[in-house]
Amino acid sequence: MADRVPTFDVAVVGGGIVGCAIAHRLSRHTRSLVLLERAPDVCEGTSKANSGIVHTGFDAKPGTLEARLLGVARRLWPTLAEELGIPLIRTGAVMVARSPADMDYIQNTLVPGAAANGVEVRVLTREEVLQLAPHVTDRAVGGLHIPGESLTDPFWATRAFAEAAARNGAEIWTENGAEAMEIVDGGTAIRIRTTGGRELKARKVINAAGLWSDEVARLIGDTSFRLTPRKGQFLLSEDDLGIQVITLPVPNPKSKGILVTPLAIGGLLMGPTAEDQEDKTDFATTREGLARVLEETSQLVPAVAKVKPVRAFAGLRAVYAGGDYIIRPSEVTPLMLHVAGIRSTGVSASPGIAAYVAELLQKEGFLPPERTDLPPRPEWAAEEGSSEVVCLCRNITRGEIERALSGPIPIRSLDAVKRRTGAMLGECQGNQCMVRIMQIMTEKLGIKPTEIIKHAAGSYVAVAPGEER
Amino acid sequence: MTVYAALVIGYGRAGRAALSVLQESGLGPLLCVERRAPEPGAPPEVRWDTTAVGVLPGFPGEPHSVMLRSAGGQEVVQAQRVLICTGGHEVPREGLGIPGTRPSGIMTGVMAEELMAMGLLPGYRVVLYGQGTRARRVADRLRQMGGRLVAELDPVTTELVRVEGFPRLQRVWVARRSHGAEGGAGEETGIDCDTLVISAQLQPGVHLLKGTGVILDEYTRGPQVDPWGRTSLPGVWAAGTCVAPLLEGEFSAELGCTAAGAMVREPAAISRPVRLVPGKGLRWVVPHLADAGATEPLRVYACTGRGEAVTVTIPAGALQDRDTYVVEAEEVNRG
Repeated sequence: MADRVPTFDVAVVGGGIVGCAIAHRLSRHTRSLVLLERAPDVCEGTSKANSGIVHTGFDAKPGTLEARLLGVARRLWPTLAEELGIPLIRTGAVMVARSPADMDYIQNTLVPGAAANGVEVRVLTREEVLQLAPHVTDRAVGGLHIPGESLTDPFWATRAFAEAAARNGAEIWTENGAEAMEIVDGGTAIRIRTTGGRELKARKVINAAGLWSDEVARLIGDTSFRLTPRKGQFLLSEDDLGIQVITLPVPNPKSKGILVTPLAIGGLLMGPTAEDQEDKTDFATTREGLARVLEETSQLVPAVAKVKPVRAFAGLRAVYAGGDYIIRPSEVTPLMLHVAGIRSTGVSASPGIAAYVAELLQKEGFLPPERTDLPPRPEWAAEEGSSEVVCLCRNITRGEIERALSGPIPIRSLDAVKRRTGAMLGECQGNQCMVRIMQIMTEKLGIKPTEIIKHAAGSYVAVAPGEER
Repeated sequence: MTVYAALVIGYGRAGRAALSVLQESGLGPLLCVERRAPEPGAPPEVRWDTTAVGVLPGFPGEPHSVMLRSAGGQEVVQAQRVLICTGGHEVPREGLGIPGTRPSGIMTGVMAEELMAMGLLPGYRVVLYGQGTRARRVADRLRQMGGRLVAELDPVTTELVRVEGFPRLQRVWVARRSHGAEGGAGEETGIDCDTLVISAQLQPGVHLLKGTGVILDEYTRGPQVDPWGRTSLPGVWAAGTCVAPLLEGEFSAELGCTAAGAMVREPAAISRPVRLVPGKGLRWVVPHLADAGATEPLRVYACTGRGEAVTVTIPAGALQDRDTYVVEAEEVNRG
């Protein structure tokens, strides 16, 4: 039987920020690369539901791989942001102590830890806290300033990595998650069948499937680790209350606490909760969880009690009982490299993780040297096309929507348009413009409105009359 | 470059009423911009398919600049007086704070109507959570098109507790509201459906005021106005649903006429401001500021907790020696 299955040097499983950053990094060495993503777009899992903060890693446990790669990422981020046009806003963070015990923890644990991690921090008096962050509670007794903490837009960053990989020649297969795997060709390749019914072979599989990477490991019989989801609920408001600095509570043993942060795209984000659960598909927000977010953040920033949230959402971070990242070859086959257990620092560490993966693959002689034929960085598209306003809340034009639809990653979901343009993110949550956007999608993509989805397969938005279901 | 004597943003109920008052006054030149596609019978001052996206306040005594966008491009116009009549939109699921999953199939009435205007149904089994003309129109149109309306819920008596299902909506959980006790909902019932259409409340659409410093009222979340529709920014007035967000726009035309009249006459500024706030049983009141020294009774527009449009008359002299006046539901004009 003739084997017509396409073969790649590398298959990256998972189109979250970690998988996309790896695909981008490796595409600088090989053109023979495919990124597999189960959802209809990249950035549909944990990467889309987090605080959007690029952490310095000041509070990472010194000596861990996580602390080390956060350090690498810290050096790489500014250049990458510039090169790929990713927003990176250095707002700094203020941690607010509300008791002498809080101050002790800052002095005796966080300050030495930050020194060990090579991150600049400064202990603040009460007056300094209120000067840097006039919005915080007057119960503040002191605090810690971490000037290097920054904001990014995780949607933008993930997509920028994926699109840059695509420009370098990588293939992006959305709606194609890894469903079955088999070691073939005398132990030199893994054959993968996808949820989209496609098949491929890869000489190296990077398992960057986030919360699902333990399941992906199981596809080749590797049961060496297990991940459990920890839910984080968030509230988002359009009004930023003039807050320009990330505002953190002093962490407790279970969680870094519920924080208040401005967003790179504007507005204010409050969260996350930390709720351990079993179900990897339960993203529901709860009345209790959201009430807790408001209660705890209003103790930190009293004005939060008055904001009108425009959105609530929950993300699931991947918790590994071992504590640190799992970045190592599979115990079953060296053909698979796990990149898992990236609990809550995926956005921050992604460039460092990608560089580390490249380093590991080069050490084992797998990865060729950096290509000399990389395409130049594209010119940023000037504002062009119709300036008819489609999204009123956020002032997004038809031209911007049309440009988003012509990007290198094929899309058919409204959320993909939302993430590329910022449309549908305002107070009306897209209710006033979604149908117009659907019309533009049918014109530009040549699909029927009933084929358009919100985010996941099966999330239809409209149906034809007369059909029964 | 033309400096307009008055620019009206929005040609809905309030904008239409205001424009006609301005025309009769002889003030000119006038311009009115409207986002919608052209409709017959409008005066030549109305420019359709045009969205005002921002206001840049002028220096004191100078005209304001307003940025307009249309398919053809972007333009900045200048006007001595600006009247904001930008209306409102239905509060979506997120604004009502309904927890649960984030599936497709949850939308407000406007989106359901637009889908049906394209010949599509919003889903197979629809729950309608709403009151007012638009909710009734959605229900009627849905039936005409052969859609299945599995439940019609009145937001006054029913609370939406949470939604369930992913990737598409599968169930909504509701409870009877026990009035008097906030959030003290009764037993929860699940209703199987794949679509939830919400048309329960309106909120002002005032995105174009971002960055202008115009003060918003904390109850309506629209611009704070005085009895003549003046906002906190001199030369900028507001009227209609963006000031009094009611599903039926009951007070919009009246507010539009009042504001336009004041744009022509320019009454003296308030010397001793009194803040008007809603008492128990009222969601909001309009205006938000009045003059303590007023010698005439003051007509106040209000919305009850059940979403009804009511008025209250505050007798002359009642605002004397106060900073704040709480408008009580008991004062509502009856009959």
